[in-house]
Amino acid sequence: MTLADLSDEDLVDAVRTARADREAIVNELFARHYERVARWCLRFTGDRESAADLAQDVFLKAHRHLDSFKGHSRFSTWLYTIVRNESISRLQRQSPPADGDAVLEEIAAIEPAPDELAQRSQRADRLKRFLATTLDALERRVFVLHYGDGMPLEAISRLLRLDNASGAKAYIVSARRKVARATGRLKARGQEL
Amino acid sequence: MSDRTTSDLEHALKATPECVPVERFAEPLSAREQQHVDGCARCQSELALWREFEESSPAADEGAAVQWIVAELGRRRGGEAVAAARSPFAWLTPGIRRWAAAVGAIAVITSGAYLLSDREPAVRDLSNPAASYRTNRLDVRAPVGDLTSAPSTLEWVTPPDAVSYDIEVFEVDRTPLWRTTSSISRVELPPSVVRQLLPGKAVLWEVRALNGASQVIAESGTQRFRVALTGSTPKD
Repeated sequence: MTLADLSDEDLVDAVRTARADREAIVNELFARHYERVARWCLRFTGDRESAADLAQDVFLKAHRHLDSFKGHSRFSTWLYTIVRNESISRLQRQSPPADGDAVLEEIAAIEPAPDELAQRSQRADRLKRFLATTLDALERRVFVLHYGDGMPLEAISRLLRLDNASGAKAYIVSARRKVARATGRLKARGQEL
Repeated sequence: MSDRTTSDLEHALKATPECVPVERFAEPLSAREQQHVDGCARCQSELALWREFEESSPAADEGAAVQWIVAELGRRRGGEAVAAARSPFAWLTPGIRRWAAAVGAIAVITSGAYLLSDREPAVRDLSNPAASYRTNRLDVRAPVGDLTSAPSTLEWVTPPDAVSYDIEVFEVDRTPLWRTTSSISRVELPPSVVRQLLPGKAVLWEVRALNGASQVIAESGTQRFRVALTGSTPKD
């Protein structure tokens, strides 16, 4: 049996117990996922040099923390969590999106409840329900990734493979209009979010 | 927008303890998990991204760039990435490194003053291939001594139980030029290093052999070579 015959998870076990050729096993394991990670990083960064740097950091981190993979999930899913976290961390080390807070002025128009700490969780739940009932599925995804994680719209377009002319921007514009209309209706009825 | 509304919205868009962990996505979800995902924009977003990663279906315009990145990863994997992962200095914080650099600079100045008062030691002649392996001593094959042309590879003798090697190349003042890791007893010098191997300039290198537990089992000590003034530097 060769390394190529082993599953990803078996290769991780082999790395742990290997007395020799440990690097050869790691190389086999990682090489299986080079293309997958490269594609993600390219879509996230938008250029191949930055993508190669990001992908290198991903595999470096995977190499360092390989012992923490317990086999509770597929290896590719474990690798995905590293790719995703490393990508978001890189964003957070850079500047936030230019239109960060201003875009949600519509929601700001709704007065918050006074007892802040006690009601914060409930308010977050209400906001979630508000977004769930106001936006469609794709708008919600774009909304969460852009405002929740700070992902640039171009990256979201590539990662979610949005092939319409203006990509994620169209969904954000549409979401903002819907949020504005919905909050307007609530205000007209004298209701709080 | 009020700070509180912004804060609440950010809170609403983040994962909560009820959110389904990504590790569960590959398995059939329970009814409760599915119900949560159906109503949670965060989980739906995570699921969409994870599916794109897992399926990894190529887009028409990215094939060449992806293949370039894959090739680059393969090239780097033999070099800096693994070296950094195994670096014995990885635990050093930038602050400690600055202090270490200052102490190192003092040591270099002191050593330089000493060397100025002493004759340069003769370069070891490595034309004799009778190198033999001794315990904890890793013998090198090449390059060492005066060379007629710039080398493109570093080679050494394979010690028993060696699984991988850490290799470092320095200027004579110990300024690092290059560091890499190899699983075989030979590495190719990258063009960026070869370009610096100018005639008359001495260069140092070291290799350490590691066993399967990443413990150093043999060391070469500092090796030195120099391209003779009549030699040539390889072109890229």
